[in-house]
Amino acid sequence: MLGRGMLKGLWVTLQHTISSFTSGPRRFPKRYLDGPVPRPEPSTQGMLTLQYPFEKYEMWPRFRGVLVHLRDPETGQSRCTACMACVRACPHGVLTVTGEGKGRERRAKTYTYELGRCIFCRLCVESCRFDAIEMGQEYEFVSTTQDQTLNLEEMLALGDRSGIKHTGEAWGQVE
Amino acid sequence: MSEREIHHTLTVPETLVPEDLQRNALLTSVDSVYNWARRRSMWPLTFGLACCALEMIAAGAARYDYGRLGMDIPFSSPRQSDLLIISGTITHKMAPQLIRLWNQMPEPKYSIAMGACTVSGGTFDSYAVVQGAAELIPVDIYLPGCPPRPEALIYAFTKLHEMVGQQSVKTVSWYRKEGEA
Amino acid sequence: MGFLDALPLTVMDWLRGLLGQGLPAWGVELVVGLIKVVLILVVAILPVIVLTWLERKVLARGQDRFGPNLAGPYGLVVAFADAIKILTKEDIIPQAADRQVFRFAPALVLIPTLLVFTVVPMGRGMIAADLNVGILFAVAIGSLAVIAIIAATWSSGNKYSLLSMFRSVAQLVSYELPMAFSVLTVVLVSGGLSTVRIVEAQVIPFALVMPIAAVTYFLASLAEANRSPFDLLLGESEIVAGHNLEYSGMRFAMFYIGEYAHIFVIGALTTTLFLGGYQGPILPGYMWFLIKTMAVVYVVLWIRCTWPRMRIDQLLDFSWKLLVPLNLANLMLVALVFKLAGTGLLGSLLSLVVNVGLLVAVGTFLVRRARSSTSRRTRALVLGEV
Ligand code: SF4
Ligand code: SF4
Ligand code: SF4
Repeated sequence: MLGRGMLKGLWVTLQHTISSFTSGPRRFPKRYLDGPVPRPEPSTQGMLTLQYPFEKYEMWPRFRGVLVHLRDPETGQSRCTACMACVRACPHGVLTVTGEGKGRERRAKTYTYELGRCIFCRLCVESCRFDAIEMGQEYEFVSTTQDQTLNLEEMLALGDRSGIKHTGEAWGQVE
Repeated sequence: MSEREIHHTLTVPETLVPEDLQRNALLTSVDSVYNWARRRSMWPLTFGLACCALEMIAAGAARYDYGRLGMDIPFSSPRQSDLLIISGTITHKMAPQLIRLWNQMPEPKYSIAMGACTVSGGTFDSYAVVQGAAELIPVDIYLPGCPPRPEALIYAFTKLHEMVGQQSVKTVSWYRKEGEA
Repeated sequence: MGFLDALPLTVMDWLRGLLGQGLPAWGVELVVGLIKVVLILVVAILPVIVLTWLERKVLARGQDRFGPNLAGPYGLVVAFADAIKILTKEDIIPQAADRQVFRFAPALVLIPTLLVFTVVPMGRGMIAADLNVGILFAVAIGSLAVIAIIAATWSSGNKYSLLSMFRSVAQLVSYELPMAFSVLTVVLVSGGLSTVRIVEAQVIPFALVMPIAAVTYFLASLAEANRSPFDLLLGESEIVAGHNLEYSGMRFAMFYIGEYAHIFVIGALTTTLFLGGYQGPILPGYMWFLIKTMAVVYVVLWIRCTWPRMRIDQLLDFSWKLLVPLNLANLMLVALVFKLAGTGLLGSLLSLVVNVGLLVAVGTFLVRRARSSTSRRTRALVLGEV
């Protein structure tokens, strides 16, 4: 009957109200969890709210954050050879690269990445045969201007911050 | 390179208060109370345009809950809301409505362009889509991503709060408006 | 009557004595009256501050969220943030609006709610005006709130708020009747219209003597305050935002305050009529009044966090086809019982039995009829089939 369903609904919300204080990883009066928060199991009961500015989830390794350049441990520079493979692979013309030098000495002179248009599809990373770029773990980006272009130095700095190392092989080959 | 450069500097509106008055204790404490109130009770407008709207809803739901910031009353009338989250693709068909909603919101009001589509047109570089919300209305915070994570949206809120915190009662435009206020 | 129980009265008497030395009798009455007005304002507005916080917290906790917790400890001062922000917001008057009425309507919202507090006994002897038609006054004034809604919507010059006004009036007209019937049952048993008399008559709270009337009154007052699940006039998906659609800034704040004050009024009147008012052991009367009222308020918020909004036809059906006949039958049966068995313990017990019996009989009848019915809508409504 309809009335029974409504009473059952009241019972459910009452249970949730109580369990939000008593169960889950964060019981009353504890307010914040320390350190990076592991992602909870789907079966966990109680309060699971991530209080974002004070608590953060650990990002999983394949998380596709902002595009970064990786530093070559030997030269301390990006490995990009300005081969333009990523530029061709990118569906939205987000990347522009200019190079200098010839043959094996060829290196990227400028590398701009229009963050505001990127859809984080990872096609550029898959197409790079020199393991120069990778998707980082960063997602906290805002600006007050429409132009959100990042250049090579900024991307290298972001790569340092996300702590990703060269794997020696591209992600596409692993697949 | 410092973190500040990566996150782009926030622009703060020019203050109209004279130099010697700016450190006035009364004015600064009025400002701080005023800014605190607007930070802690910023009611968003219920307004979703495309796929990013789902991520906005996720940010409001139990897992991320932007209600913690005092934003848990999404008002459906623009007259009562302070924050317009433009979440999703703005088609040319939808542009007039967006502008109208923005114009109907009372000052002080803020807007967040959420997602690649609203920042720059994103993946839809086509005749049917407005290339960025900035072509239509003033945007305070641009948040890239397709879609941005719910955490990223809340990060945008915290940045907006910082921006609000640097404002002064004196710079609020509607105090200087002609005619009846 | 213990010392704590009588403390407010003692203070008042002492004040009267103090004033009597320097003022003529009418002057004393004037000052005391003014003090009472201020006290009622405080009693009506203070809960609003608590309730804005409480509602958001209760809703959030019911949905496994935190609710506002950054404004002060546990978000306690979020109401002040709301207040400051909303007062400094731009005040827009639409061009199509009828300016005078548009400005006047928000002030009108609060008045009926405040007036109801004058006849609510908040403790032993703590009542602003013990009218001998107290409860009639409360019911009559309570329905005046719709005037404010009509004024606000009509003057806004907005078709959506006008639609919400139609809904609100239809709702009020249909729920006034079951509400009046349930109040009538109470009046019949207690033998007077005065609120103090009704409270004093409740040796056993009337909610236990006649649960049908109690539940009906509660639901009908929810409908009158336009609270969930009867908050049809706020149907976001259909009519944008209800009667206060065009209001912004401080004028909207009046509607906001009015809404929360009305919740407190629901609690106070339900407590007075059915939960035994200020009566209770050990604690002073006003504490009991506060505890019972807050319990009812919690149920209001709890319902808001659980039940979806009703459709307009279901809403009217529920009132006219179920609540009105049920309460009419209840009124007659209870009258009969108390006539035959007296208003003592026996009468109360019999009345409870009759109430439960009536509920079971009506339930069985409805289910029987729905089982044999071929209408999908009836089956869905009564049997919960989809
Ligand atoms: S992730 Fe996709 S959209 Fe972004 S730069 Fe790479 S290829 Fe272009
Ligand atoms: S990042 Fe890789 S694919 Fe792109 S230009 Fe450099 S080396 Fe070529
Ligand atoms: S940015 Fe991406 S997710 Fe957001 S609306 Fe555009 S296409 Fe959808």
